[in-house]
Amino acid sequence: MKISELTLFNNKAETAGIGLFLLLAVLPLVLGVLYALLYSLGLIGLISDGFTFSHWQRALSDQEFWLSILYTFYIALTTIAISITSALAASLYINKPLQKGIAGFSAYIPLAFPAIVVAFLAFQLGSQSGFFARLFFQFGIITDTAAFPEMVNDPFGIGIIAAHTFMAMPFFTLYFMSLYDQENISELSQVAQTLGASRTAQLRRIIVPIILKRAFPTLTLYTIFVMGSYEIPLILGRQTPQMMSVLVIRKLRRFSLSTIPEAYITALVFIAIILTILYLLFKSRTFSYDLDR
Amino acid sequence: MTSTVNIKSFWAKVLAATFIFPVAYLLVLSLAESWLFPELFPVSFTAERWSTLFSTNSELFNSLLLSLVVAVMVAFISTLSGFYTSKQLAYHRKRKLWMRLSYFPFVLSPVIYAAVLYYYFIELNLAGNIGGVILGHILIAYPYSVILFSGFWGNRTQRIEQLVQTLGGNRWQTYKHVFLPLAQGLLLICFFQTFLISWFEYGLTTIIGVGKVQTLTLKVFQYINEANFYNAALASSLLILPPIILLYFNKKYLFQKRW
Repeated sequence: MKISELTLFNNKAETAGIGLFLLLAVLPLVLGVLYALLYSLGLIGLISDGFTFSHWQRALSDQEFWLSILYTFYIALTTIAISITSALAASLYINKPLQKGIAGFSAYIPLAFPAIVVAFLAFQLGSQSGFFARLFFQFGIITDTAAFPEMVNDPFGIGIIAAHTFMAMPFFTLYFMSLYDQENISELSQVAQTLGASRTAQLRRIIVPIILKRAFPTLTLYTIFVMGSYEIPLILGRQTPQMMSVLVIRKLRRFSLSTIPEAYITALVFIAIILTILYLLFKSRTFSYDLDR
Repeated sequence: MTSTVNIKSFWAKVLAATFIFPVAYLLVLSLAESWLFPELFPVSFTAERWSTLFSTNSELFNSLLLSLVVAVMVAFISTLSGFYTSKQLAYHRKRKLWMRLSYFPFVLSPVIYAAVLYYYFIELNLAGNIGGVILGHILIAYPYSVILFSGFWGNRTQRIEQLVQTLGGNRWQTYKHVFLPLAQGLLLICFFQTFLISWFEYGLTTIIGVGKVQTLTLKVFQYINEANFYNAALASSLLILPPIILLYFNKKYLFQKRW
């Protein structure tokens, strides 16, 4: 009797499939992290002087590095908070008119916008000589461009948050509306109403918690997406503070080679943050691996 | 009651106007001859930019073609390879591990991913050319494709496959007559989604392409840098055109979780 051994791959098709997956999805990430790590430790690269922690010490004592991490979280969390609030309001208050006609179609339009076009639009509309400033000027609210508040390249990232919200809010509105139907929330609300719950109590105890719980994985993944965005903070942001993605590329592209290890350290820290968030997300019970669910 | 309906309808219209306005703004800006502060509307219009787009040696038209070629190649390769791979991963006993791993490259910032991989692209002579950019885009689009298809390979599909095999069908016949027709809708969604991932990509393209592979997104950035806002609006209009066409045919092609 032949006893079959437990092997990683059962047949040639499986070997090819999983081999391709390892080659395209796993190996590049491992190699990329390894290269960045070796560079940051001074083991490879044009300015390599042998193993050293000096680049890490310099990077970690740099105020700009910590400011960048805080700024990245600030932009991502503020965007998500505003987007969730406005999307919940739209999906619960005006869900019926948003499901038909031109309004129903229009909610999909922002999904057709690449980040770079949204950044360009935000710049065109919100800058001190932009469309909104012209409106204010025509109505006599301001008399010159300098009087218009800075909304792009501003210290609070208003332009960056507005641009991201323009992309996220309609997506979440449509997503929440589909969840509302999928989870039979209207039936649950009716049961609560029969039992004497007011509309506020239904919203606070049933509707909003169910939607947010069900949407939690997507909200987390979207937060990661905003944290890693590049085009929008590049066009609408300032020299300092900068989001981590912009900081990495700026340090990589400087004429001085000495900032390259710091760029890789920032990239590694960013990857570590993302891996930690994903790890916590995978442990959450609400997470499903299938995007369709 | 009627007033509540009217108020809701009013707010829906306000929201619709907010979403439609940017499209109109881009088109107007691309057709404006001159539109300076404090003018609220352009003083005069010109169709010259749009007409020269289709003339010979138009840089923007070349970028449009290049973006189309790159996005179609990325979508085609990612969809087919993702479909094939996802089956092997879905039925493997380490499915959970593979699915977790597929999320990492997909959610990582493309520009940071490109930054840590740039060295290998140089070593493989893939930096600064179209092949490298296509491969770079596939590194993001392919894991997405794997994740999207993972839901397709459930118990039902497995039972159908076993039935086909019991009836004497080989692997090729199973794919041709069962899997591909069954997954037709999902394959189309995946194709368009991976097309859009590539079509929208800027950060990774600029790093791996070293600025030499001038896709439409790079053109928009170049025009913004040159303060040539009229051409930036034209390039932006071209960028949003294919997704809006997709939207016209089927909203589901556009509304899929990409995060």
